[in-house]
Amino acid sequence: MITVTNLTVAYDDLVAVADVSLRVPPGFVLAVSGPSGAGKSSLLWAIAGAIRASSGQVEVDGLTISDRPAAAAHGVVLIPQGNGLARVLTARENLALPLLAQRTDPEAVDRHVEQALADVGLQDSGDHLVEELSGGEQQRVAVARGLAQQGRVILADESTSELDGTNRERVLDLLRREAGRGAAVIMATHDLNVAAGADGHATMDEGHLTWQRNL
Amino acid sequence: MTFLRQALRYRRAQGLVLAGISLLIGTCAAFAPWFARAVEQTVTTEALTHQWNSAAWQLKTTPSTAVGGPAEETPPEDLAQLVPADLKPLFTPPVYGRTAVVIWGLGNARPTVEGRVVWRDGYCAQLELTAGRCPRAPGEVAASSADAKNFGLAVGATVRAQTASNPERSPLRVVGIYQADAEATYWFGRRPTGNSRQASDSQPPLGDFLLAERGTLSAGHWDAYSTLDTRPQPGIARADDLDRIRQVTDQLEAQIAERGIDARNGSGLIGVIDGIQTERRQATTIIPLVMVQVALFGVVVLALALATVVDQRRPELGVSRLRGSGASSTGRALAAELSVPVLLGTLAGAAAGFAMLLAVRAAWLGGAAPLEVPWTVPAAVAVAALAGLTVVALSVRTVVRRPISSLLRRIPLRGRHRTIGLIDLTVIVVASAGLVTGLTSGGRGPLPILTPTLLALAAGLAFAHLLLPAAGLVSRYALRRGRLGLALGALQVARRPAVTRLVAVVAVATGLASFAGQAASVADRNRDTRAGYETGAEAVLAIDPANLGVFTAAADKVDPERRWLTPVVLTSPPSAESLRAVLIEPDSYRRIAFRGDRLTDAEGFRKLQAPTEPKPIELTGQRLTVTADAGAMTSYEPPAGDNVVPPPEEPAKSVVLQATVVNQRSGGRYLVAFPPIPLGRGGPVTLSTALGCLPSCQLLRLGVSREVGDTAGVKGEIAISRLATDTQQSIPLGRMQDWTNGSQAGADQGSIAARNAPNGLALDVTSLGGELNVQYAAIPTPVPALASPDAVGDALTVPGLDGISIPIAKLGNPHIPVPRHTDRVAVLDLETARRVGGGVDRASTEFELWLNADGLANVGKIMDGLTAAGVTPTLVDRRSDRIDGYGRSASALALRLTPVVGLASWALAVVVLLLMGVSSWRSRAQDYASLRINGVPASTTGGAARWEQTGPVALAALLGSACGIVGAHIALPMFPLFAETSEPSPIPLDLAINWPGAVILWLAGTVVLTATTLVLGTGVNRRAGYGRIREELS
Amino acid sequence: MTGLAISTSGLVHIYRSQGHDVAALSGIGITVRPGEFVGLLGPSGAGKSTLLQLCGGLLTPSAGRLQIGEHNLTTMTEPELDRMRARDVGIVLQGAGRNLIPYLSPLDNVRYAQRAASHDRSLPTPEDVLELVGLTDHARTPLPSLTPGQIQLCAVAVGIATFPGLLLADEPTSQLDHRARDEVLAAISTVNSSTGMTVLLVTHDPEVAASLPRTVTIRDGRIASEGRSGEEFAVVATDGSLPLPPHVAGLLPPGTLLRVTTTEDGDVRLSPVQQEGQS
Repeated sequence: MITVTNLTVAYDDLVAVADVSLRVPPGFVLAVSGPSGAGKSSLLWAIAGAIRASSGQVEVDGLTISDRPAAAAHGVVLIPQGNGLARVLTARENLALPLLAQRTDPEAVDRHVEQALADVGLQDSGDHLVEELSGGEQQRVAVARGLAQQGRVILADESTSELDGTNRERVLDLLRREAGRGAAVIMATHDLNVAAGADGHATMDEGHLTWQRNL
Repeated sequence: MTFLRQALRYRRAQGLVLAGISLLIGTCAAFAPWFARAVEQTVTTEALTHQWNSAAWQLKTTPSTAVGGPAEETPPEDLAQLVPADLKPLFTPPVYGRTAVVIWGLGNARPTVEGRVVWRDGYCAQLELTAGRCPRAPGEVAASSADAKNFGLAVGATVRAQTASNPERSPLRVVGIYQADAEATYWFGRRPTGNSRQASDSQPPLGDFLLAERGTLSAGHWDAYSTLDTRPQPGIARADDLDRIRQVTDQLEAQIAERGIDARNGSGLIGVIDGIQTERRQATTIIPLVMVQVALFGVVVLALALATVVDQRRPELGVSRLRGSGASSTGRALAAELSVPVLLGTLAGAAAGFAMLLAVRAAWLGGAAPLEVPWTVPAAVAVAALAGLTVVALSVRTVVRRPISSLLRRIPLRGRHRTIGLIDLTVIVVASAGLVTGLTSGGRGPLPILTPTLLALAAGLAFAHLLLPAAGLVSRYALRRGRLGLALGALQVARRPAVTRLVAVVAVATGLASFAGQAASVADRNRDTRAGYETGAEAVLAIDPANLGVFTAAADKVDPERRWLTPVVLTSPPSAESLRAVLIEPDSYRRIAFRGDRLTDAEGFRKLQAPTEPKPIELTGQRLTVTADAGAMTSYEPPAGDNVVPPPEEPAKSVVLQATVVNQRSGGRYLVAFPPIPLGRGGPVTLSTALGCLPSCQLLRLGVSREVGDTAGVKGEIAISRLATDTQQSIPLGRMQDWTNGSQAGADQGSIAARNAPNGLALDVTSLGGELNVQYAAIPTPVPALASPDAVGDALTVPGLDGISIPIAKLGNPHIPVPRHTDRVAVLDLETARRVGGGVDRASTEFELWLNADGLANVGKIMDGLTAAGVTPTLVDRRSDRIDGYGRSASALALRLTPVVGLASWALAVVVLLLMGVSSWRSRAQDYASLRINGVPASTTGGAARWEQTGPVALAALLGSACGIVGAHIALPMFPLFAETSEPSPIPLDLAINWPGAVILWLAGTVVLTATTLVLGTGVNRRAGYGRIREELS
Repeated sequence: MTGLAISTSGLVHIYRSQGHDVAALSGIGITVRPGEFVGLLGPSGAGKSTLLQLCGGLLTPSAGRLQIGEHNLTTMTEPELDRMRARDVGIVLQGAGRNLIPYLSPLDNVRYAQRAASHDRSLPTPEDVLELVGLTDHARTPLPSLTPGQIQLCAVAVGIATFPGLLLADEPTSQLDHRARDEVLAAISTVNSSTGMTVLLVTHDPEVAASLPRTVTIRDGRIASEGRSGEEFAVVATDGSLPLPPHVAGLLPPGTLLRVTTTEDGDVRLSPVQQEGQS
């Protein structure tokens, strides 16, 4: 369960998120759409604990989110916009290192990594360096990284912008599957078709959240 | 229109870095030729100063013996014409002189004293008059105080002098008594004093100079000759003048012949100049080579820096191309912008090089070199500037030529793995080739100096490429063990080829520093050691005592416990090829002489020492009496050889008993012979003879000889039942073990041995006419000695105190070169030589007192004490002076640059580290941010950031230091640590690696470099905030 | 100054990636009249930026024809392309900062952009250029002190610095908020209308696209449709092919046979034919 209460995120004068409140129960997929600069990424980062809220509060399954390491340990997974992969590592290493940091059983880690890569259709590209992959493949690796962490909250920021139809459907199915597993999923997207397939749809414009379709 | 000023102001830090590196290059370029030139001048001045005597022209005409003719056949002024006009300002004002060799006597006594009457231009100012005044008129002389003392001269006395050709005695009136510093350069080695001595057994009396006015020698018949002394003035005659001076000196003989003058030049100037030229060549080779390596390193670092800088400008270059500027005009603008700091830095470096020269000139060269600007300096600076600008042009060119789309990408394409490997491989091959060439070229020439750099470069690059797969293995191992920080760090090492450059640079830098440290410390150590061996101890006093007893008494008076000094006596044979003897006091020598305790082992010292048993036999008195029985002697015919019919001989008539004694006060050794004992009559006889043993003598030998003409063979025992003097009733002679058997040269000449007798000693004699002696075992014969390795042969002898040969038995070679007197010496115990006795031959014997550090600190007290004890000491040598002298040689001065090299190398390595940190931090920070936002703890990424560079750098530092040491081990034997001499020095070089120094340098370098990488790594991690992943990459 | 016309046909661009060739553009044929204001739309990776870069001479076409005004880009040498960029074609890259020299003021940036054409006496003054985009008040303000919108205006200014015949702008509004976006669009519109400069603008923002008089949508390397003031039309390509709009493409899968008939009022009817084995 994601509970956001009166969240405001501001950078100096610019208010990125203006007094947003929402709640996403486990098993549901919420799509947040809006133009660039609307505040979608800031909302997701604040929920993930990667930026500090100016006021308001984010709570995930009983833990008040204050910093990223605690949130990550608690199972809040962020798939950033632009993928945010480590370019010096291979796809497999990008998936494995965060898992190894949280768990120490290398065999379990290997299993999760292989499964996640297979899920996104990149089981043969595991040993490619990130920069050897195309934009779409990089995005799928980022998604796989998020999936492999088996979080209780998945925050996907524009995770289908580089994908063609088939892979887009695949990723959305995977996110749906995560929700089915019991995670609460929030997707930020500017693609209205993607938003149409979610359980709920909210739009953001200049920091303000407006519900189009409630969960 | 350019925006150069804004561009330079915007990237000030980069400009400063470029300027800083260029400054270092410019400093090396300017300083090297300047310093080399200054060293050339210093070496010239030093040689001309310290070898002033050899470097002097000492012209001397032949004395004219013709009667009649001009008073001064060839006046000294004529000799002055031999100095060409262009050299006159470079030489000291010539000192004219006139000298006559005379024999003089005081008053009407027969002239016996050999001396000289001398006029020298300006002599009076050089004298310290203890009585009277300087001569003013012809016929007046001043005599030295030594002469006054030895021959009883006083003011007012008249001496009469005659020359070899003219028996007429000319009177000279003594008007003054003088003292002079015979070592002053004014005298040019023609010592006025120090010659005076009274007559001795072997020599006539000698006198010092009788100084007179010029007129004295022009009137009358003196057979005088003219002298002219001059020498190149140190500080005025400079390095460039040497060729001309040498040429003129070489042609002097021809010049003399051309002018029809009958004169000769005694001068070692050509040898001195040749020595200087050799050192100059050393300076001009070694110094630039050392600095060129640093400069080249700097150029490489500059290229790396420029590559980074230009790479950062790619977006701006893209903008410029985008707006229609062609590649060349874009490149020109950028090259102009980058050339400004490079040029300014190089020129500032020239100024810094000058400042460094001033500092070094004051500190190391004692300000001896003049301030000049040799043409090599601006040439070198121009070359450095050109090199810098070329690097700028090349760096700009490689980037600017790229297509616009690649310029606009944030990350350059990575397709160049293979080409980087190719360049590295080429460098490795070239470096190895250079290394092999340098090693096999016979070690001559300058290439040995490059060995460590080439070795470190080749090894560093090879290691770097091995590092990449090794890092991969480490990362896999670390991942399996869950050590994420190490794994991530190792992964980055394996995947970023830039680390190869870093490793190579660090290896070269630490290699250079390590080699520099070794070279400097090894050279230092060798200078100290050689100075120690050549001096003998910390300082050496020369003494001129009348005899050994006076010498040892004075030493005992001043330092009875030998805390400060040890006596050393050197006797020299007349032939230059024969062995000399070094007589030492083993116990104090071990403590005070330089490495004296290593001369031999404890056993060797024990054997060297004069035996304590048996106790010496003392004789006191004026008459020696013996009771001996020769009745047991019979005729003896030696076995005849084939075909030799023994001539008929008269039967033997008598034997003569004799004793050799050594006077304890004078040291003189005398033979005392008894009246002959007629043969054929039995029974003991009592004989007596004169003995001059006051206060006492020691008995050295007993023996038997024959009367003149009595050469028939005789054999048998002579029983000596009593030996006594007028003051001693009975003198125990000991037992037969206390006497060494003797024989004449050649076994067929007879033999003598001591035997125990019921009431005394018996001599078992086989006499064929010559002298036979047994020697008391307190004085071993042959004398045990340590002989230097160049003493070859079986029957070795050395001169005793009186110059007469003593046979020695070789105990072995000394374990170290014999200090101070190293060639053709045998080391004996002074006590043994004293027991052998003999009047000191002062011409061939040198007395020295060697001082240790404490002794040198109290040298004033010691010298006063010695003077009070009646001997006159002179401080002739100091180890610190020799060390300083060696420190002023070209190679020593060149090696002083080594700390500079070391520091510059480290600085350049740090610069490269900073550069690589600056250029790669953003992408590394983005990678760390990406991991951290996914839950990898900041401590893990921090560990990775620190490991990534620290691991390779630490390993490279170790490798480089090892290469530097190996390079030193290989190169130092080929490196001239000392100036070349005509004969190689007998003191071996100690080229062992200075391990403590090597370890310290390695640790220091590693600490400095790894501290930098740790700070940089922590900095990158700190900048890896989450927001960084949002930055655009392409 | 008159705007330049763009004319391409059969334009193909292929690049190499990971050992095999990728066709970014597979036969583009468009015509832009002088002074037209055209937007290029399409999903990412479709080829919009590639087409823009080709028009700017930053890439070389692999096949086909590309003409800008009098310049035939398929045969020009690099120095000729430089001259074209110096005078006739202005490019605004995606990401405003990448167009600017960070340590120069807007005025100096415009001057810098005019460097290569400085010998040309018919250049506008830098002040005039800034006035056209509305940055006169900040002509000397250092760049770090400008708002994102102002920086974007500055980027546009350097793009038009020499008043070229063609302005190519890649996503000039993508990182801006609504107000700044509108400001920038207005400025570009003013430039287009007051100077007659042809403008080709790439965007993925549908609101921006709606405000443009003409849009061309590129999908999978081909022209998919064209828009006029917000209304989308299918367009017949130069080779006679007709890409179907997405909602129609679902109804007519590849391989469908169509009976093409024309009606009296000029409409064309496409009737899919039922084939054996199909439902």
